[in-house]
Amino acid sequence: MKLRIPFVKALAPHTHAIAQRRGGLTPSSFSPALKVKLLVFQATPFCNVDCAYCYLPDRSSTARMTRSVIEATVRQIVDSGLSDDRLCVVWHSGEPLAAGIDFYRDAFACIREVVGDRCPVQHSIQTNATLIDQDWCDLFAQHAVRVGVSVDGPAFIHDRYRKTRDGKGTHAAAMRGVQCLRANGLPFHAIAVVTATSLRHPDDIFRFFLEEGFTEVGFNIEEREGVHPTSSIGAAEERDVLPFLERMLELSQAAARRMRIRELDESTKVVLGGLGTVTIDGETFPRNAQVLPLEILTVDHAGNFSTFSPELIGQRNAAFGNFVFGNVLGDRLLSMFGHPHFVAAQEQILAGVRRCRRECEFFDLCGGGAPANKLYENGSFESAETAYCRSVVIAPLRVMMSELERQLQPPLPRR
Amino acid sequence: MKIDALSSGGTGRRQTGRWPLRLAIALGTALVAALSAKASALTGTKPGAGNSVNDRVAAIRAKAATVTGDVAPARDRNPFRVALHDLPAQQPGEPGWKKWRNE
Repeated sequence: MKLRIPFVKALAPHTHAIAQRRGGLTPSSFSPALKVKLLVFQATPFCNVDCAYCYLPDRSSTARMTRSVIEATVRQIVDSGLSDDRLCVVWHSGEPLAAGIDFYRDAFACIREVVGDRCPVQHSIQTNATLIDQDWCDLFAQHAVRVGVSVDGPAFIHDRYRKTRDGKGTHAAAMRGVQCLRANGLPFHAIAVVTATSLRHPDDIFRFFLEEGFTEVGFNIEEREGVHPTSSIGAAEERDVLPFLERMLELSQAAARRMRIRELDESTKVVLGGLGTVTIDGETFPRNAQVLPLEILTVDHAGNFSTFSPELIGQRNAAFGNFVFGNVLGDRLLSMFGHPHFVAAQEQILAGVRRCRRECEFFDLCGGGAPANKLYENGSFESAETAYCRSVVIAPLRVMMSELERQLQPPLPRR
Repeated sequence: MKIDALSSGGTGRRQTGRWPLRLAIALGTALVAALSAKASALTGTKPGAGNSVNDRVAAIRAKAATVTGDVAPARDRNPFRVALHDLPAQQPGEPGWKKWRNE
């Protein structure tokens, strides 16, 4: 039996009324109109690796998302006018391949059936690569899945933090998966967590990724987040982040940009082109997906949905109801605007964005930071600067602003 | 500097408050300024007049606009223009989330 949900437009006045009574925003408060630009699906919370810095809870749970959750989510998105010009789905948060290849064959078919010809569907998977084999490569090729692999660099760096539950390194297994991708001519990129160890070895890390055939690497600075309350990168180590990125720029240029560095490319694009803007109740902000409801929609294996930073869902937090704003099996997505936990989170997140606007010179290039990092580092959404800001946003912007000024001769006057 | 002589005003008798107080105020002011400057350098925050980051960005964009123009990168030997055009095409409206990368 197919789940049919009436067009949400009919419910809009009801949702609007609830939100107005609570003093919150409504979908009509936003211009341009809200769209789900990224759907994060948690196929399973389980992970076969026990990385020391992981922020995710419940990684031993083998629960799996059901077809009904997938169908209900996608049907709501497309039937309610929340779909954009394409549906971007990223399978994440746990080791997605642990759900099994049959799960994805069924999931992809289900989504295609629901979406039909209304828009293209782009699947992406972020995986530790230890389970990749020929069958997976065949699936990736068949559905043009974009594959991101979580590899921190050479074995002596990777295996320091990325181990199995019995303490064994996972680098060899991850690289077998990477080699399988290469043998099949499948494109892939890497996301590497940068720890204090990493900061001391930029050349080793770059050379590793270049020699192993990676064409793009994203560097995630180890964060204090979720169930990982500490980081190897403290105040002293944080000073090494900018030199690390500067060295990555040098190495990338020396290699004729055969390997891109995500942070540097993104910073260049933002410096040159800006972020775009969004208007919320008549107030204009730079566009920042993590502070806009529904732009990133996260659905866990049980169908609970959330928005803003994907790292929030499932984290224990009584004040915000564990950041669960509804369940796709019983609630409309737009009903979140009347949900008290959503209203509170939205209000505080916007207050934090306004505070960033008052306090930070990089605001127009950022749009107010990442709510999850503000909460976990500063204890409140209504805060501003975080270590994430300094290392992940400001440092690469500084590197590329200086580089662009250098390339644009003569030198520009600086205040 | 002999504090005793100065603080006594040359009389040999201690005059409490004036020079030590002025020195303390001067040192304190300098310390606050130094800490503020260091914090600004680390974080980019600069309370007060102007936004040097936006000024730099505006200057970069103005210069870049004159450099790139409409010339196809393949025919352009300027490495800066090649580097700019070599960037992954800007996909409209793609959200940024650090734990995933959309190409």
